[in-house]
Amino acid sequence: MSGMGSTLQLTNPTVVAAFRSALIHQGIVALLIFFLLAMAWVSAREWVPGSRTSSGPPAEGRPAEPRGRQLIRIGFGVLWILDGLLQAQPAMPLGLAANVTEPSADGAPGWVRGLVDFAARGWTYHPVNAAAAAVWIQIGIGIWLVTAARGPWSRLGGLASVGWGLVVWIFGEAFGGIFAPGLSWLFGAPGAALLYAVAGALIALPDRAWAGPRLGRAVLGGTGLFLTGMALLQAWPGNGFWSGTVDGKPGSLASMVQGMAQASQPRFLSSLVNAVGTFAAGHGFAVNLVLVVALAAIGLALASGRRAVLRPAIGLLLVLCAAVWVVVQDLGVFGGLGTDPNSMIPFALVAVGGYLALAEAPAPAEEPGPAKAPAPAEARAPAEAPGPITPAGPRLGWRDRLRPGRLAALIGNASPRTLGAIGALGMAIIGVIPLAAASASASASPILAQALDGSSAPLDFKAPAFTLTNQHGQTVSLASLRGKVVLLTFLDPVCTSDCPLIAQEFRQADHLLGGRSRQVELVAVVTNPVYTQSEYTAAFDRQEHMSTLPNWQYLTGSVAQLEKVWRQYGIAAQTLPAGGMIGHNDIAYVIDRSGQTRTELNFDPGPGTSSTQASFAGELSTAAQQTLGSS
Amino acid sequence: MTRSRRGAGAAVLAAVTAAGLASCGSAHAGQAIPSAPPIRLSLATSADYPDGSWAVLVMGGSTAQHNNFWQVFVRPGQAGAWKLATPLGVASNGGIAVAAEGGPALAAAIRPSQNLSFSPVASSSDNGVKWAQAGLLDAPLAGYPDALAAAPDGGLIALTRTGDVELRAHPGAAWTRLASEHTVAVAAGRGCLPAQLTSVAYSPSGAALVAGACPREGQAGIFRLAGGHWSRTGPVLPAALARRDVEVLQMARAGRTVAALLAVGRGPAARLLGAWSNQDGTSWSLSQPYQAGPARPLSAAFGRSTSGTGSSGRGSLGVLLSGGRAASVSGPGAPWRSLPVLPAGASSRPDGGATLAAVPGGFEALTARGSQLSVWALSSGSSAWDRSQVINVAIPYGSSS
Repeated sequence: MSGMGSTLQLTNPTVVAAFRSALIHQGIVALLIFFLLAMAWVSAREWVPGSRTSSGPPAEGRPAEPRGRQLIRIGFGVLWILDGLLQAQPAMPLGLAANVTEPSADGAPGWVRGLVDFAARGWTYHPVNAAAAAVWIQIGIGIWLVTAARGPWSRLGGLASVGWGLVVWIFGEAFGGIFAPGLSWLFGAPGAALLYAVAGALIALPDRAWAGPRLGRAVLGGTGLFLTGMALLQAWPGNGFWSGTVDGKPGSLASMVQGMAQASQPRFLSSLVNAVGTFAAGHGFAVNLVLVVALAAIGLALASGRRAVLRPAIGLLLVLCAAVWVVVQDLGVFGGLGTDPNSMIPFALVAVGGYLALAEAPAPAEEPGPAKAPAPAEARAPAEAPGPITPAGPRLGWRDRLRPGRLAALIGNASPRTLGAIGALGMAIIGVIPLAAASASASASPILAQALDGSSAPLDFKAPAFTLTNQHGQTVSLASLRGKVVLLTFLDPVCTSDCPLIAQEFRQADHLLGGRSRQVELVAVVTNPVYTQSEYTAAFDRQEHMSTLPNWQYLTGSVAQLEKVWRQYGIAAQTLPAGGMIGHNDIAYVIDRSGQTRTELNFDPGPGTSSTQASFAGELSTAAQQTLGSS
Repeated sequence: MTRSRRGAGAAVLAAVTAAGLASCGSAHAGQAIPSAPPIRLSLATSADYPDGSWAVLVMGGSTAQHNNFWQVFVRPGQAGAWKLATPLGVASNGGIAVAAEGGPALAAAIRPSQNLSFSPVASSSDNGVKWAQAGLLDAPLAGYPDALAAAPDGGLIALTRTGDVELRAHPGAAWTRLASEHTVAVAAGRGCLPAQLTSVAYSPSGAALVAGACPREGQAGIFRLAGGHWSRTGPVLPAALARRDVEVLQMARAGRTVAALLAVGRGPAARLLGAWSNQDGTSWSLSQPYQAGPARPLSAAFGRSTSGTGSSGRGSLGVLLSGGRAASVSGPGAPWRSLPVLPAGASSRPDGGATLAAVPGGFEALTARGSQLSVWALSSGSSAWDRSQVINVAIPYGSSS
């Protein structure tokens, strides 16, 4: 019934089923890619003489991967995989934009909200494709990082982490909240995804950058500066972190912690978080003082670069990260729609990776200058050495590389790790391609309309005749529209909820039809037995800007005439008492050029968001085009 | 650069960066405390008309605004009972304004809500038993209790959300713009520019009146249209109140007079005044001032006067205040008297869920709690309200969601 509009629950069974189906199908394709790669590899090794004995480039002459890089690469690879799995939560297609990304932009400047809204709109228009893409992109990057240990493929994996990390940071985390009030390291500043991008950039650096102590010193110095800045922000009076309570309510920190305690989680954890929240509310000043001092001390120690203080500073940082992760960030995944374990683990990984890069680098005899720092020969070699899939010998053009024999040699000589990286890239592309294809369409995914019971049913009966008056006072009969496809619906001109949305869906459908809209007539019949005069239909048209559509007809007549049409088309119009509006079915019929009713569409517009409207419009225009094509 | 200098530089850089971030990301403290806002009455209202009384108030206990519906109740003729008379066919969750067109004829304009942007108008010729479509106001009706008024000859005047005054000269005629806030203020003289209009009314002689806030201290912004020209006709305040802001909270025709409720000053120190005009709205008389203290006025009820001259013929004025308090004044020059406090919890909605209504012999209070309307009567000499009637209304929850 009109006005009884349903809402789109996050776990709407239709959308969840479509999401699961997309994941299963795309997962099968991903497995197929790995299988084909393995088959090609085995075949190539059989075919190309000499390749069977080698499995990748020789290890001799190549130093082991620096432990700092290894920690960051594998650590962030595992995190990306975990994030991808979290993206596979059933509520993610309908929940991410509304519950995660858009709230993250609350309080941010308009241009930040604009960027986030832009991305959220894309997500909400194609929720299943977008959510599936996020799953495969993140799992793909994760596998890529874990499998590709060295060489160009590994560095490319780092760049992929940079790219996707920045996309998530900007559009999903609203720049990690750095433009919003109340910025705090405890609450996730500067945004977990930015740390993924930083880690990717470190992985993408050439091997020679990892050979000396400079990289480790730069990472620790940057981390130290950042933490010192965060200590100052934590101490900034205007941010309100010093007060445990404000006007009898929990202060910034206490309310954050107590909010976390409300999330669905194991009881022991909620008890712990709750206790910390209560303590923070009761001892706000002392808690913040400890935090400020700890952040400043760790930050200054790391920024100093003195080896004597680095180890205890890193140790203290790890303890602090663990504590904040558990009691403030609540492990990042509980309650709502957790998309990652939040910022503490990535932060600790970067800091420890930097520490290892500094601690394990050979100490130079003297401070090397930036221009004349000679990298050790053994460290320089891998950067200059060919990548695992790059054949040795003179440089080849792409045509040469694509010759079957050369390709077979390339594949046969590739290491299993390289094959894993290529497969992971394919996995990420599996998610991107359907999303890109869907995004090329101006309409939203039909799954939204279907989720709102926007079902369609084929029909084949002669459309009942009617003769009514349009908004211009002209007589219009169904027979007079013969030769055109008629999209027929029933609207209440003084409706406050559904009917204006349906009119907009018709308007969008007309736009989607483009030039073919000249062969389509959009017809609505008044569905209100009290407000029937054409001045109401004209006012409705002005309100919804329907007057500009030359093929729009809003028909009315006497109550007897209207009731006859309603009866013939199965419309139940109910006058509700006590200020209720007219209840009626939200339905649309597609009538072909010869006057045969071809399709019935359930048209309850639900929440009437731009994405659901665009989805219904797409469904309507598709039905019209199919009828045009078949008649 | 030595390492210690680099460390100091880094610390300064961190401090500057953090300060920058803090200044762009933190809330500013020490903002100026705003002065007390203007008084805004609820949309619950009532009137005493020749064939009875009507009242409008909101019912329903939903937290979703659009699931609470405004209802019209009518107490026709000398009948002692109220009955539901809400117009059918359009959602009333935005509000309803009612005007008595003469005899048993009533007009109702629906305040648009949600996706509706114009105001359908309905009319009834039988005290609200049946309503019929009566055109529409192409702009949304203003959110003030007295935004609709009926002329003695069947015309309607309405105040829109854009601040325009629209006129429908007779039933079936198109609405035309009679004035805007700006034209009223300019025509009335610079002293009242800009006036924010809050009420429209017709004087018993048929002159259009509009009222609103006048920024000049001590001046009541009541304007009268005569010969195509607007002029300020508002009452002159006593010298003791002449240096304060004046708001016309409500203004409506009440039998053979036009009555208004004025607020002088802001906040707890504000004084309420009743004002009554002569038949053509050119001269006004005032009640004594009433200080409501922290209680906020919610709605006013004007008793119909039966004589156009002399204070004895003027109607009484009742005001419902927050906290269930109420007060009334019998006419010009008269002192106010406090009415008994309504029973606690009589209304579930603080704004719009209760109103006083003038009935023959005094006032009754109508309160809504969820879907139940209670009518409270005040018998002569009684010190408490007695529930005299209960009406259960089938609230159409969900019909507009």
